Amino acid sequence: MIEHPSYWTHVFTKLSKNKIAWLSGGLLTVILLSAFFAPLILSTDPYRGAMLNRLNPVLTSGHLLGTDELGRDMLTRLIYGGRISILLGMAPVILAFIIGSCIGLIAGFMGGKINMLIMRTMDVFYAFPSVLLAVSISGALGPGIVNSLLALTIVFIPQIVRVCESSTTQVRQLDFVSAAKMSGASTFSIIRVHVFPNIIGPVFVYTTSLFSVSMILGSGLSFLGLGIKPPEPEWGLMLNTLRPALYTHPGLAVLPGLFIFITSISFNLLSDCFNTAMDIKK
Amino acid sequence: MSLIDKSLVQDSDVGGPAQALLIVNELRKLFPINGSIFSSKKDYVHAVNGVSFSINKGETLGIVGESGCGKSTLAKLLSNLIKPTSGSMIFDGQGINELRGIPLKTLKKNLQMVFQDSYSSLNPRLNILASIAYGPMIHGMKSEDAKELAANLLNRVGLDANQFGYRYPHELSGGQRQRANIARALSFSPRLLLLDEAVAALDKSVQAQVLNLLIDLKKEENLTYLFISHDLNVVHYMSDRVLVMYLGKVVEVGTVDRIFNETAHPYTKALLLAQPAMDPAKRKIQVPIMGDPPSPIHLPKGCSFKSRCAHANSVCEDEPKLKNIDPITDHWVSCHHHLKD
Repeated sequence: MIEHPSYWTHVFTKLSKNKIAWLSGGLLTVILLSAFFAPLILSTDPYRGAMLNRLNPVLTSGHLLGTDELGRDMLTRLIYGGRISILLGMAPVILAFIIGSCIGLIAGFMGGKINMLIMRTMDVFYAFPSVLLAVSISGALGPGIVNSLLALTIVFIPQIVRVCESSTTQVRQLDFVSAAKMSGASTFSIIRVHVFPNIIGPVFVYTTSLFSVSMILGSGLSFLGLGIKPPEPEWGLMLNTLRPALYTHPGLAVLPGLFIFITSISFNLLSDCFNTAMDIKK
Repeated sequence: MSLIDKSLVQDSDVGGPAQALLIVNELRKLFPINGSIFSSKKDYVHAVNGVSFSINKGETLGIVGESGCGKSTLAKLLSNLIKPTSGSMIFDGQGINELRGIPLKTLKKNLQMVFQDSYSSLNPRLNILASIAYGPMIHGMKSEDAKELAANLLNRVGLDANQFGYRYPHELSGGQRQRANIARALSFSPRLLLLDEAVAALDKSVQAQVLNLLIDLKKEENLTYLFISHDLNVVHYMSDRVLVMYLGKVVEVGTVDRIFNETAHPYTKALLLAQPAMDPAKRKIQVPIMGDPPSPIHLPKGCSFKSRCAHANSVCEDEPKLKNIDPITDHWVSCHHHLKD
């Protein structure tokens, strides 16, 4: 019999032909690697300022991207800032994805009373705007990076549950799930083989779109003094501290925002490419 | 020679060939209508309302009836996808409702179904070989053996396994997908195959191919078919006996010759008359049956067909019972004044 490539080989072959996937993937790799290996590639200190060198514009000699309001090197701080920003962006979303998709699958597949119980509980979280919810949970837990990660995770779980539950409910009613039930397969096997692969696409795309939201929410918490504290470099926090300089030095003040923008749009584009590649029909 | 691995078959033939394969007794399924949470009074849709019949080993029982008469609910009940409100089903001497665990898993193997929608009955994320091999693997077959069985079955239903095995459902035509579905059902070596409008979505030429395939398979694999359809021509072609349903009830059961040539129930008669004739000279202008069936929520008293029946009179206020009008061929009718023509 002819050997055929596995599903994931197929997905990555399709992905490798996509230029946008290469571009966004490449950008993300550069940002992630530079953040991870920041102490190795940079000799400058992100915390040391020089009061005489405040708010130097971009392309000043010695400071490629200028200096901030305390005279600290912007490039260094932006690269170091990626560490916490990307952690704040990814960790809560990945955690929420793992927990949320499990809950959503159970709710969607079981239906009936279990579904009602889970989904109405999630609706309670939905009653609050996500910023307010993050602030109140974070406030209750106290400031600190772990607590803000937790707060963000709790904010994202209901959203992922809802997406996952609605896709599961649709798939559950299809005939191939009935056929699997008739084969005597266990519920776990049916979910693993027949339901999960068919809902992962939309849930995956929705989840990756949350990376940027999470990054911005995390920096919002920092701004309120509930997350990261100065002088830690973090993109959202930097954006906030450079806010007064927006009118005098706009080129400088938008830099952290630009980094957030590039990172989040790369995430979104890459997830879109993944979704296209994972769709077997295209 | 059967291609199906006989080691998979658990021979539980208890009563010999004379014993009916499936006996359905007073099966009833009511679906509650969700009204307000606070109202205590509930209404029910009487989808299947006291159906009794039996299927003999090796025969094809056709089930006909118009849309909404409970055919598909009956198929779901038989396939154990939904639980009946009351009544019993006995498959080869075993009560289906009482089974749990391993015996239920074994029973499920013996009772397989082919669905109407060939596309939604195949997992879009699995190639058809994997879809077919999934069932035997669930029942403990090794992956390579299951793949080989699946390939053999694909060849058996007329799809070249090398050419089509690794294709995904959307890469196949409707007829090819339905063949794959049949192969999937056969992978369990079932004894009873429920065909729920299995050919209704196919065009006529493909329909004929699939029907002939089903007839061949039945002979070779000793299958018994429950053939649900609204297409009387197809039912006539396929069935040994025919059961006519109306509003969740059996109105007439008999051999295919009796039902088509010596129709006794006015509803069956109307169904037969409603068929478009091939011969232009026989085409009728008059519609033989008017209106819609009564609501399955608030059932009429007495005979459920009386509102549309030309023969209805005061006798029909009593509910008719199924009675055997021809003991030689076992022709059962539930009508107070069954037709003799």
